[in-house]
Amino acid sequence: MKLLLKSAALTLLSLTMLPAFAVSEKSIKPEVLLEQVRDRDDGDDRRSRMILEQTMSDGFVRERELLMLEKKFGAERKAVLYFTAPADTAGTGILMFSYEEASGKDDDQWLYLPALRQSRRIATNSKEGPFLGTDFSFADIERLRVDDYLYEDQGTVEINGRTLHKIAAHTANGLENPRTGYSQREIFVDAERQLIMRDEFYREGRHIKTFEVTGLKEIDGYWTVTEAVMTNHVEGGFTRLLRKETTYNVGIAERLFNERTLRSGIQ
Amino acid sequence: MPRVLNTLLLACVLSATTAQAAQPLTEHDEWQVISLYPPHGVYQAELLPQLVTAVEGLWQVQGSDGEPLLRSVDSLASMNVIVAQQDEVRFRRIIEKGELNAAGMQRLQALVEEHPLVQRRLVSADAQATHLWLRLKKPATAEGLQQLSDHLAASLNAAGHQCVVAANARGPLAGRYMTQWQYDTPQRADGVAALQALATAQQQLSNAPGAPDSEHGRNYSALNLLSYLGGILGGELLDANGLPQSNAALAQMYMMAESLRSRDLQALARPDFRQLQLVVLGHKAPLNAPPVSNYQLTHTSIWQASARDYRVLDCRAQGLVTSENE
Repeated sequence: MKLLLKSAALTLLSLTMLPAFAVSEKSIKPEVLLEQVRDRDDGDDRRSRMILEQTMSDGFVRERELLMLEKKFGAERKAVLYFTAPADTAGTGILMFSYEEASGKDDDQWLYLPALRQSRRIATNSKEGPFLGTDFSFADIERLRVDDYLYEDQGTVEINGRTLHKIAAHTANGLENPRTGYSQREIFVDAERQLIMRDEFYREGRHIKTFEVTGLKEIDGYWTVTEAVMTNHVEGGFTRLLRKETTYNVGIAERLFNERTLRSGIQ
Repeated sequence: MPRVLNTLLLACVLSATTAQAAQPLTEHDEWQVISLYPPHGVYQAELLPQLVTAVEGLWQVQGSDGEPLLRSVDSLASMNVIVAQQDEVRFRRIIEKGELNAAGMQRLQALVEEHPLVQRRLVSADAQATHLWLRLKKPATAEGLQQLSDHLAASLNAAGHQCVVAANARGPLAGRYMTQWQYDTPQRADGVAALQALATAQQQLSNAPGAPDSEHGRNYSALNLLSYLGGILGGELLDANGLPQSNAALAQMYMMAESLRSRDLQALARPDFRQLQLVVLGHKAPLNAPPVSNYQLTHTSIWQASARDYRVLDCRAQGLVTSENE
């Protein structure tokens, strides 16, 4: 499975990237533009504090805080998440290895539960299911896969003072993609910053979710999404993802990305 | 149950003060069921992949408006469950096509018997029949269920079987009920205390006149799923009574389920424990909802084997449906 490390890829990794080079806003094909978004430079490693704030349809709010470390190992990426709040899940950790897409190898993932006092390797068939119980699915937050859809350039629109490319995406057969659960998307890309700023997801013609970047900041030379919201139009709730205290290229030690460290926690 | 529906239902009963006084909304039209008798019992390695294909095909069945009929299907051939295999914890299909050797079939049978959402809900006690629990996008009708049953029969017949949709409804669930109760509390609740209250209610329900015998069903809640999870994860997550040792242990079991992207636990008890579900399957007469301490009964959903909501698909050579319910 392309698991959480790839989640790191979009929400946590790819929500940040610096443009590797300027893009011509008028001439670029949608596929090329999305490949540039997928392949943008996001540094060698990154350390962030994250907040996942889930608001259910009846107003109930659940908040989780975590520390996230990410590092590239050649074509592979590794990430580790430590939950720091609330107290009942503090110390829980998730370790994720993501491999080069061309390798065809599923991601590896381990979960450490303090109450169990051991880590367990975990694997799942489900990509459509909620990411840690939030309104994001795993497919929403994994690294962008350009080949999932066919694209149509719909020109540019002005949103919050930025010129965004509007791209209509749909599956080749018009049916929902079994991996993502979506049949159609409307994607709004900031070509200069190589970021998806808004993404509307459809299934069977029904608008089911909307992703929107609501906070953006240049940190250490990388455009970093500091706040994003996924609104669930079917169930009525939304999840806000906040990134704080982000630093890039800090030389995170390799030894932090293994099971033993996962069990002992980060100091 | 969809959150939106739950919210509407909760709004209907906010003024209620006790389970007895609430007069909760009762629905009869949520589930429809097909019981399938394979030619030689459920645990046949050749049959199971065919069943997976046939159930996947149900999503193609359309109503007169051209829209798919199906909203969801719970079955051996479609459900994912959390299992422990070697040093791994997996959220996997119940039927894995690559694991239908002798050892895999043994694991499958063990899983069916151990998992509270599978057991008698999906497989009869004698393992001669398997049940598909369907939800349609539109209000349930006999025609819709018949259409889905016919499609399932055609798919299996195309694989070489001789299946007929039985004219009567005398399958293993004939004369039986499934009842689902929803309980709410307005404030965030203590998780372990809520589970203790559920345990008391479930014990009371087990002793109630008309409660199902073990051959036909049982009652279950999030407590049973947590007990199952605690069992497969090992360690010291549960106490001697099968309850989570602490709210931290409880929250971390939720974390495990959510990390695997399973929705089952959240569907039975919201993480804030403001909403609980209690289900009883296989009873022969309507049952009263047991009180759950500090919670109000807000919704009741009843399925009853009937001409509208139950079909039997018989693929046995003799083409006769036995009367195991009698």
